[in-house]
Amino acid sequence: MGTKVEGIWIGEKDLTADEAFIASAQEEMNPPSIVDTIADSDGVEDVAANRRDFLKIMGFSISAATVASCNIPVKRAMPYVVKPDAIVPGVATYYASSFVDGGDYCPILVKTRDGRPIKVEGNVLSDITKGGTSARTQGMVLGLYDVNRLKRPTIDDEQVEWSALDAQAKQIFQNSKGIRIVTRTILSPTAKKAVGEFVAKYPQTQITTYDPVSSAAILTANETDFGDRVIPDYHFDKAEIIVGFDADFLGTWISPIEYSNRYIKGRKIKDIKHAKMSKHVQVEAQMSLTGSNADNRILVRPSEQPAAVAYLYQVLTGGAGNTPLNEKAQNAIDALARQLLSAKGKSLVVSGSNDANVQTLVNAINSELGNYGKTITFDHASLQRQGDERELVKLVADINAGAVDTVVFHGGDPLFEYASLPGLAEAISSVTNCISLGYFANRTNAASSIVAPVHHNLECWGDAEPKRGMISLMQPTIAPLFDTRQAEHSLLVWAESPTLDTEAEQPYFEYLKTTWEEERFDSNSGFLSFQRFFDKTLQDGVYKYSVDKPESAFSGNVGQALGRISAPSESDLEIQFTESIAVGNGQFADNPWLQEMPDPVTRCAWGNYLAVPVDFDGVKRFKALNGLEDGDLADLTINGTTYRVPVIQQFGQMPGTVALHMGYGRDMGSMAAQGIGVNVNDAMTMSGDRLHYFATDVSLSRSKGKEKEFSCVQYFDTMGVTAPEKTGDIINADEATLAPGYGNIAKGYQGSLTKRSIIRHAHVDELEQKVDDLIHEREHHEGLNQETLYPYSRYVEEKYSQGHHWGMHVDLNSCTGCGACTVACMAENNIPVVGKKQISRHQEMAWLRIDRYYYGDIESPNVVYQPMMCQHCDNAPCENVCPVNATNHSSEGLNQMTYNRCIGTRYCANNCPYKVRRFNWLDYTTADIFPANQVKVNGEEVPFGADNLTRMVLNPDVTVRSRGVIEKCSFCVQRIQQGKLAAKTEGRRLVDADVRTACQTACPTGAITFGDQNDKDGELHKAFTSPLNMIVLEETNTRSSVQYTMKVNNRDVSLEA
Amino acid sequence: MSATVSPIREPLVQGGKSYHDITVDLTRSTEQAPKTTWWVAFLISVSLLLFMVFCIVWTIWHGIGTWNLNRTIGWGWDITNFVWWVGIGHAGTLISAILLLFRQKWRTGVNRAAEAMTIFAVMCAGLFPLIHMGRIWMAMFIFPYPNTRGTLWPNFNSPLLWDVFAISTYFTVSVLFWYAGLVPDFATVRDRATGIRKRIYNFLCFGWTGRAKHWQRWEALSLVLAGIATPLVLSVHTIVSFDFATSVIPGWHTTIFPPYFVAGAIFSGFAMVLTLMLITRKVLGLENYITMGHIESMNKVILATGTIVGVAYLTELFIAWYSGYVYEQFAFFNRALGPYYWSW
Repeated sequence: MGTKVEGIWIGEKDLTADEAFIASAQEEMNPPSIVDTIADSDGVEDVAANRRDFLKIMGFSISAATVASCNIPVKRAMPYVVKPDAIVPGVATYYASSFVDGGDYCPILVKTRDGRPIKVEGNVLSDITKGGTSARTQGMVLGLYDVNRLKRPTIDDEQVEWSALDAQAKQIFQNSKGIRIVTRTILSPTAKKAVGEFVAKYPQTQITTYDPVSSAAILTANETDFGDRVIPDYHFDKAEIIVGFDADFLGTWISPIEYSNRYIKGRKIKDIKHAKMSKHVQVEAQMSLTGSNADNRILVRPSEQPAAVAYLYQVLTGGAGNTPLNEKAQNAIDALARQLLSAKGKSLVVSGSNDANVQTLVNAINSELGNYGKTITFDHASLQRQGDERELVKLVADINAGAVDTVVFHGGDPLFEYASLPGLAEAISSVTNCISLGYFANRTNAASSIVAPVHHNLECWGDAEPKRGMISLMQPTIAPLFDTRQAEHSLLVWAESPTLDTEAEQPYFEYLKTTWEEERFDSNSGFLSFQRFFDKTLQDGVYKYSVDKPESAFSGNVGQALGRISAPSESDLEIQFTESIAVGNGQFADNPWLQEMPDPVTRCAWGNYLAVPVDFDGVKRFKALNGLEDGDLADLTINGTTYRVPVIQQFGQMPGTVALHMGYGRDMGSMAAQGIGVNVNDAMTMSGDRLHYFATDVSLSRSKGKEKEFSCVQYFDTMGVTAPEKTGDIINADEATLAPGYGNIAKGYQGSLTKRSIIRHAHVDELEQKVDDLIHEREHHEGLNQETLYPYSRYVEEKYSQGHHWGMHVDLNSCTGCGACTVACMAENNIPVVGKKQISRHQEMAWLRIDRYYYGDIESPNVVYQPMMCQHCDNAPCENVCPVNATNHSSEGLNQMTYNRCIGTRYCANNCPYKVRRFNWLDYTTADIFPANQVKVNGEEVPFGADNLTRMVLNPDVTVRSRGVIEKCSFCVQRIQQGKLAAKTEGRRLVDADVRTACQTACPTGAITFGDQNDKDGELHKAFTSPLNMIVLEETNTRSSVQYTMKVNNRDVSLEA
Repeated sequence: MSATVSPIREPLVQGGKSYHDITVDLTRSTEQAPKTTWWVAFLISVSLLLFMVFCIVWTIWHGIGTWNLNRTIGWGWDITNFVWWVGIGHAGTLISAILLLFRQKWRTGVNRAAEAMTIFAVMCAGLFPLIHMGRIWMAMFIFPYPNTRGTLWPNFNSPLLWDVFAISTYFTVSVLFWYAGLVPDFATVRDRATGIRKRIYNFLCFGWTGRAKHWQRWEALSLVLAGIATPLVLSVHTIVSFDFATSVIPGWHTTIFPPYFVAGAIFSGFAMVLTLMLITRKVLGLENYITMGHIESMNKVILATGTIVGVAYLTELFIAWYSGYVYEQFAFFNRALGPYYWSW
């Protein structure tokens, strides 16, 4: 038969034991792992995957991809391994330092949290500011975290190393035949020494000093008249009559924080029975912040200013005034002169004019009145303005003469600020080497081939001597964020200074210490060592030394000055250019907080608005120049150049004049600065070698349409302006415009309700009577409020008899409206910046606003500024309407807002009589899950503060609010908590001084008092006893915890004849 | 069975219809396929609905800031629409409940349609307060539900919360009333239908057989529901008016608001019923059922409530003047002659 085979088989291949078949059979049941296959083969290309492998690989890939894509980005918070001594997590540390920007100065305490500076406060140890601040000071901390800063050294826009930059710079200096350092006022003695070393190294160097807004004429006049090229020390507190000729000393002029503080001392009402206050007369055309605080304003055109000063001088010296001046002003100045003569030694005349002849006359007037040595002194004279634009004129001449081939710009933007200086831009562009020590992108930095970016103020060591004998130190509060270098350091490196230890960790710090040891330390001062002296000074931040300055007598040539007084223009329309309180002459325009702060007078934010005068037609309507209305666009032609500007109607603007802020419309800079407003910096005129901040060849068109985003937060709200009726009778113009009549129907109302209990005002002479009226009115309101089923007296007893009952007092007589508190509030409470478009839609977020009301004569009304924030009503209308209890009352009288609980029905905002509640209309902070969706700010759909750098400024104690919730003033509840903890740690009772709100500490005049109403010995309780106090809208029975005072003026009718 | 024509008053159903004729006429539109005109109207409606959905998504995605409301004017068309839709709804309830109690037989001709309108109006009304919330995703906070946040309840002082209860009660009662009324109608359709339609309608009518006992219970239920719904006609819009009347805003803070809102609601609601009925009777050929008599009756209601609203307007103005309250005067003067004088 055949072959017999052992076992069983299933097929031919099996039977023949085919190798390929056996291998495949084994693989089928026990396939090699894909890993082995890949490992065994040479590459992956030729690895054949079977079905199972394919499925395995696919399954693994999909699940791996899914798991990977589910990963949440990890943000690591690293604890300290070794905790630095100075830092306690969660506890703020304060460092004394100084805010210095050119000549602007404020001694500050910098609040840092976990190594980040987040807020600045005034330094109460300073004899200059007494702890006050300004809006610009409050805004400075944001500039540190600006994403648009210059971050690295560049040569011809190429990033380079510092060593390469230094090498090239030194080579340029060595080969240069003429070097100019163009700088703003340098307050720092040490910086001046550094500049001196540079000059010593390169003797072909000259210094050109200028100020963004020139006050050079005062310096020149004081040099010729007193032999002292300074700005004297003005004692506004000691003057009974203050006359300001166009000097905005409460807003922008030289040292506004100091001046405000002193000015208000003479304006506070201490005793209503024998009320006394200083009298303030402002001679000006535009309504400045200072003018709005004045009792009387004498309207003169900008070109009449010299004549007005001359006229006052002539009348004062017994002569008849014979300078050409409008008749009304003549009469007023006649009366003013009589009063000044009766207040010899107790008056003060200041002028903002940039005409040295005018300043000599002002000096002569003050000398005639015996004010020197009394209200004006020279011992602690101000050094805050040292610049002179004539030096820039000389620079242009030198460049054109070929004497200069290298220019070093030490900060600032002269090419923008002095755009009207003839030939400056052309001259600079013809210079071979421009080196800039810049901070932001601007015209000057763009014109420079070498840009050596500088530190922020808060990253710098330094000192500042704003007033003779008063020095303060500046210390860094954070390590430099970018590859920048302090300007002085750069100059010293270029000068190859032997005293600069470049190997040191902080070379300029060592340099500063050495300088101080040599120049400031007195071994007899009682300090054991220099180090102790320096540490103490650094801790205090301020240092004072005595100055022996003999008072010199006035020796000016008055006759010559009088002879050179320029005649007023015959022009129909004149324009005055003014410095903006927020953005200065453009140097602060990069700061979104400051752009968002509305101008105190026009109440416009994000841009400059042409202030046009308003008149009353004698029947029913307010009419502005050329029929222009708020938000209209008009063509403004200055010296043949036409600008299209938005318009705001401005009470108090002199007929025949208009006014406009400078410094807007920057073509370069950060997101906030570019293209905001209209650039008119090239429109000023030079007279002689001086820049004059007005123009006379001006015409204004009628309306050319509406501005698309008219960003004004308050239209002209008046509270009782009077005007002559057609018949000549004086009537209340507000009420007239409200009265029914055909004229109103088409356009709507224009006036205001004058019977609202929002503000009260009185003349100082009739104060007793008015206080009586106020008390009666309050009793009447109280009577109305008692007619309730739920009497407040019982409620307050039940609820607040124990513990704290927080309250606030705002002294409107101390408030100048400067706006420092509003910016402080934004900084403290993480308030988002919303931008121009949102402001134009009235969706601004500021918790604290300053309302502005006019009353009195329509041509030159008086103004009341009223800081308005949540009133923390004990009977709050907002609280009982919230459907979800998101806002409620604490047992300490705080009206609390629970963001987590808020669903955004906005009922509370509707029902708030004070309109202080703010709704997050859009995602301003990118704090929640929604994308950055603030629509088109400057063409970019990015909210301010959406980036991680800017967010470093956020206060970690305050929640960043998400979209769709309401927010409002919390009485700085985080500071209350801090105060409680401080008192508790020290085991004592909390006193008012433990809790100071952000607005309170920012105020330069101490207008705001915060405290515990139950603390009978506290500051607040004392403030609450003033008979001048009132509650806004008291008759609505809201039981507000914020009290205001009646505004008292000292208006003199004899000046109005 | 031939119709008996009363010599005294016109019959409610004209054209000498028998029961069968009526059944045929009224069920016709549910039994035939939709015509072209129906599709056109439907497409237009759906397009508008989709546009609304787009707008709502846009609002919720970007925020309420897209609406141009601001810090003084916190409420706009959202709350206006809410009030308007609630008001519209009132006509249906009035017709079905109050007219039932008053034995107004003519109501049967327009009752069902008016009730349906009420339900959709209340749904619209409920939608707008939701959209207007800043954080709609937290809308559940407004309901008093047990939660893990301690004893955190909604604020029972808030008129907005009363609204929530008023609207939800109103919606519930309206739906019940509407459905109860529909039960015999569903049965009628069922009796004529076949196949799956029959089974669906049988389910919807709960097995209605038309027995006398059924009718008796149905009558009783209708009366009870009418009794519950009647106070709602007055209370719902009263509560809506409290949103404004209890606030401190001059021009809102007035005691006239509740009756004025209710009268206004019935006024506008009847106008809406008429607007819809006039189209329906022509398009569906129901002139014999919705007769001139119906229109005449509704016109009388409109005239009466419209007059009440007119008097309310005048009273507001008079009181503003007579009270000597300057804020009120200012608000009313400018409502009449101010910047938006053209809007009324």
